[in-house]
Amino acid sequence: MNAVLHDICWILPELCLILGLIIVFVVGLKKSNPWLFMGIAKPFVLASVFLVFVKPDSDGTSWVFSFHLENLGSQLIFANSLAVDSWARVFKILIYLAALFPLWFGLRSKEISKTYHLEFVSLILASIIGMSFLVGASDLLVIYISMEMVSLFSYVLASFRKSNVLSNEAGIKYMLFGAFASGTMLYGMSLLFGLTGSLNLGDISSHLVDISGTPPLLLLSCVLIFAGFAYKISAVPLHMWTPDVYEGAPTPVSSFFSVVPKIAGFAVLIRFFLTALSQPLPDIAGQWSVLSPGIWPFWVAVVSALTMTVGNLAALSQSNLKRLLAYSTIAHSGYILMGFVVLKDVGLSAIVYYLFVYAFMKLGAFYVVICVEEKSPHIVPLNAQIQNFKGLAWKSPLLGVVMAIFLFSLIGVPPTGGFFGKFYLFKVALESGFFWLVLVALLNTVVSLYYYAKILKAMFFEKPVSGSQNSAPAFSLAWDQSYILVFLSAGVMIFGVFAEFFVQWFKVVIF
Amino acid sequence: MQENEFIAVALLLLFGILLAAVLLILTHVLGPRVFDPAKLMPYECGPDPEGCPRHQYSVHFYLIAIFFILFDIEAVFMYPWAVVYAELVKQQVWILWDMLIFIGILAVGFIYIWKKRALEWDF
Amino acid sequence: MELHFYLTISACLFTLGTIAIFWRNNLIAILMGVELVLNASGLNFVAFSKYTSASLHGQIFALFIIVIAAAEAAVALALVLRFYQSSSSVDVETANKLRH
Repeated sequence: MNAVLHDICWILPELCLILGLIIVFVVGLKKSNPWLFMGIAKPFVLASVFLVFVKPDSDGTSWVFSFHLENLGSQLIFANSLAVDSWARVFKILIYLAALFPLWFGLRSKEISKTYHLEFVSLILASIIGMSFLVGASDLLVIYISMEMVSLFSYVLASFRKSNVLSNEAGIKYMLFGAFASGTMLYGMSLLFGLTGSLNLGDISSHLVDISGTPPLLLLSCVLIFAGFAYKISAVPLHMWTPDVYEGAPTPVSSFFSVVPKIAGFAVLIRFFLTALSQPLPDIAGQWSVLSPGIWPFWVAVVSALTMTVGNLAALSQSNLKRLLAYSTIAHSGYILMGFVVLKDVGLSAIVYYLFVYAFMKLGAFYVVICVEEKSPHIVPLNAQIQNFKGLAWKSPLLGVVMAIFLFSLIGVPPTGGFFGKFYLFKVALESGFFWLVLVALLNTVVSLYYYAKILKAMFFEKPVSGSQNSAPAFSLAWDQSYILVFLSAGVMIFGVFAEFFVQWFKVVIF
Repeated sequence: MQENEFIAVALLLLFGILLAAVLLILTHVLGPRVFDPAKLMPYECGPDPEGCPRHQYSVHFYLIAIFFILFDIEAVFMYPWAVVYAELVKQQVWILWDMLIFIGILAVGFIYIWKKRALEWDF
Repeated sequence: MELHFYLTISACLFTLGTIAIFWRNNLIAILMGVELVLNASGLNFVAFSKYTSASLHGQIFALFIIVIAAAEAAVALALVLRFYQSSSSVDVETANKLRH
């Protein structure tokens, strides 16, 4: 207990979120009001963001607040199973901030019925608690438990519209796929445990140094573990759940899935591979050398290329915007994996920067879809078809401009954040000699231009179809909808304009 | 050799299977065969059977079973704790509070299902 | 009872579970396959913990696997129940409305 008490002051953000969850439960069982839930959840989440910058003093008596995360140092707590270092801190901030938006989208939308607001809020809060343990996990057991926690809550969230056949089907598909993927990952973890005799990632890497060559069992175990992570980030070959689940789930929940678990999945994937399967170079800070199995960066590059290609090619023929954004999520996972094929800090800070920009632009694009869907009296999947977007830019200029910014960022047009994200990732890959990967990524960007431009063409250059829900002459957005859209698009532009500053800041903070 | 003890179990298993098989085969071979529809209907104490034998089960059976599994798992976590409790308490380690916090978090879930009236049976 | 007996058995369980997940049409049978896969990993952990110089952590992990498998089964069965109530079938072939 002394060890637990000593270490528990290091996980203040999670404790704050758990307290918020309990208070949400206690209050929500008495009365239910969306603004009340938001009013309770938002301060706790923002307080957790503040608490990420706090650490206990060296003699454990008081707390130290520092805005410079690099000064806070790193610590392994709870018998070396959780790591509280800059990598975890930066991702925790991103996850907490990015999760506030789907929470607000869902509470305000018509798809989440009022009787289930308590469950919705508590599921999302519990998901982000699980994700903040996941990004700090330094032990196979903690990785598995946190991933299962996040996945189980996601299965329930996917089938949140209880009477809708599509939502139930999305939940079933997500659950079957996820159960198989996590079972496979667990089998891989058991083989890795047997080979190295330890569950801790650091100990695994020190045992792997002694193993010469690559026993086939080690290769198999790493492939199986990667399968579990690949399911979480929608990489090929475990990407097939993404379009069905995103289309069937309620749109606020889809926006949550496409951003927040992906961020956590990338964080834990990179931490696992860099801590357990590679070794930091002793004299150069921020570079790693690969342990056995020795050529996994090459295979990550192959997976990245396949993921990009599959995502972009399949999105070409989509007419449902939710499915299109799902395939675009798969494609972006491919781009992000590109930064990981080189084991250098520039690649990792490029990934972190891209994830920040990606959160803003994906949330914004999904929110535009939510705003358009809500204009219809009934929530049916046809609401997200492209024909409902025709001529929208002339009826609501704000929506047109904002969607243009998000789509330009998704394509990668300067000066939006998406361009600079891709630029840094391409630069990292080029500097390490992966020319073929950069070529594939450039071709994929050109291909993606077609389907994003299709949406823009419908919004700006076509007349509304009579009979669709936006054939009414005016399309007005509520003030809070406009405010959120402007905030997200401003975020995209700010990340784009100040890209160099942000990338350098991440590099300094994390390494 | 420990295997000697298991030979008795294997013999018991073999005799059990043989007995059941012999009884069934003998009944089938030596008994009369009747193909009368009245004789082949399921037995319901006299009157003719009517209606489908399967009926709709209340969904509450499922709910209670799931609640049992979840709280049983909570008890599973308490067993290792109980094993090391005596020894750690001698070393002044307050592990009672650890388990109380764990039970408390599950108690929040319990209060939730209580308030949502999932413990009441529907008729 | 060598280590490789246990590893072979767990590999067979994993394979049978995977076949059940991919081949069976009934949702409940697919969930049975998932349980098989999870228990195969549990057996692996316990076997490695006993027969190699690995610590007791493997057996602790097996305990956690049992617990998480039960929680996952609870959630999965709730989803199957909901799916059955909306489409009156536990056949996974009826879950085809979300095609391309």
